[in-house]
Amino acid sequence: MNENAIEVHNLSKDYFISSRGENWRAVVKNIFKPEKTAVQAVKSLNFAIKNGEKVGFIGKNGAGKTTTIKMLTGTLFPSAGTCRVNGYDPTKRINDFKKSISVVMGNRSQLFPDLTPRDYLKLLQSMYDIPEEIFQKTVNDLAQILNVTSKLDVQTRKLSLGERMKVEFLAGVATRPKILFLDEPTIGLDVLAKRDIRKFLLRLNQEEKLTVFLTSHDMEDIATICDHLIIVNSGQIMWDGPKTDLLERFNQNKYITFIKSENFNESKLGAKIIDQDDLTVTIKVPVEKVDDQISQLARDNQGSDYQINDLKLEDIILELFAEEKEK
Amino acid sequence: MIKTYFSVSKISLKSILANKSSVIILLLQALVPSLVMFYLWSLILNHGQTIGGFSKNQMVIYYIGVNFINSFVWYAVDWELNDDIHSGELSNIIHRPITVEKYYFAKMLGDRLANLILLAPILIIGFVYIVARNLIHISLLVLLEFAFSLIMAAILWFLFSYIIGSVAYWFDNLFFVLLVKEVVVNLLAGFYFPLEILPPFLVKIIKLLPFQYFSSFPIDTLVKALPLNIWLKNTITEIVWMIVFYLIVKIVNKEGLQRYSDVMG
Repeated sequence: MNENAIEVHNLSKDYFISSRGENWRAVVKNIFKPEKTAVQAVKSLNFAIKNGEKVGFIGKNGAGKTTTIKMLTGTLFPSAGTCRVNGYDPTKRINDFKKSISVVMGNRSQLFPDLTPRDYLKLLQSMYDIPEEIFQKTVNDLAQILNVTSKLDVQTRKLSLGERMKVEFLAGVATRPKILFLDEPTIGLDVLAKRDIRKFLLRLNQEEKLTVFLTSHDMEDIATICDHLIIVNSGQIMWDGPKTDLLERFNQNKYITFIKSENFNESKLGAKIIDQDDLTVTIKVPVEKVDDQISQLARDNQGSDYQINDLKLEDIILELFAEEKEK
Repeated sequence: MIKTYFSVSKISLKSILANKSSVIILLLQALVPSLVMFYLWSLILNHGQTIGGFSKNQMVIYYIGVNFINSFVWYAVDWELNDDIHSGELSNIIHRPITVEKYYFAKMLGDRLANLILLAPILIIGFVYIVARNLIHISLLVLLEFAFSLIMAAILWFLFSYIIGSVAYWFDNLFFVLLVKEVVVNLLAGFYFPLEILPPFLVKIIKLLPFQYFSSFPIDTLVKALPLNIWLKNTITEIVWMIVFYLIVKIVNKEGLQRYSDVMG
């Protein structure tokens, strides 16, 4: 049996966007002869994901993350290249493939606002042909983990955003998929809801060997859940490997953040500035030079309240983007 | 698989019944035009005149009939598809283990059933009124023919609207196209007035088109008590149109879903 849940070869997607024109003449001209511009959202991606992996698919806005998910789930057809998901070609859109995956999108609800979550879950049960007893047990167990048991019979439009998102998660896994695709699943949620959802995903991955493919701008989501990272920029892969390897690559540096004094002099810092505003500055310093650097800063009366931090995943990704820009 | 689509119909039915505003709008939509037409044609044809072979009673029943058909047949799947394609909602259907066109058809069945349930009291009162006042003679055969025509009209309407809605795969926004389509189809289907009012050469042309089966033909079946051979001839033509539309649905669905590009992300 193939141990890869997802295999992607030279996958590309182009969109054609028609421009509207600035004035009426251009608008009328556009009706008869539309000007179309090709935008390459995804450029020849290659990667493989093993069964049971928790993958963070990271990139800036417009990097092609959602487009990639849509191609992997069979919603969009690739412009070039191929992909196989659970051994199926998603473009064939066969029901066995659809039953083997699940998609949860943070910015698009799949629930019916006028009905209750239980109505929606019952519809899924018949769509995915899951025996009543198994489905009820799964739903009850999952609802308990997510703290939404009492919300299953409340009209969906009366639920809070966090409750709705938890129900989306519940629905996403109640159909017993092999791969769960998550696109910005914790967008707009409070700390408690995020915590519940992260714990829920980790537990499912551990117990059911569920493969998780997650895109999120919340690096806390990625750091907590994922063990494999794929970082994309402008439709191309910048990093593909274990999270620990990436953290290791950047662990020889630390960030020093301090409050600037009146005598602050940028040219005397002797270190790369990472971030700066009117009050504070953050510099990057090799681990072995941290003590010397702080002593020097104090001697030069550059600032006060020095804080030493390891690079967080978010910092590392920003560093990667900066490295890419410098190339 | 039938169980799945039955569940879709059930969800659609429940959605309508759960929404109080849609219930009120539906009742007003069915009642107001029928009442207006009832009084208007009662005044116009007050002295035994006929228009296009329709007497006052037949005209009143015609209008009540077309509004009734409008409530049960004319499901706006074209508007729904246009919205779902351009908003990206269609993605929620594509990745489910269901067929897109069957999903919308099942949704229509639930929606129409909700209409039937909500309008049942008004229909029963209307039917009792027509029979009690002896406005029209309806045999059991005519009633069966009418019921069959109504089901056929709903299917034909769905296929036609689905094709129109699928144009949204290729164009940015169909708002004005759908608006114009509505007016033209209403006219050609005999929703505004009986087709026989139009000049004979126009009636001849319109009768060659499929639109009469959406409204005019089912109501003619009821009001004019068409002879069985004419009814059968029309029904066979309707079935041929249905097959043609079904084949077109298959083509536009295949090509359209391949073209579907959702909103960028």
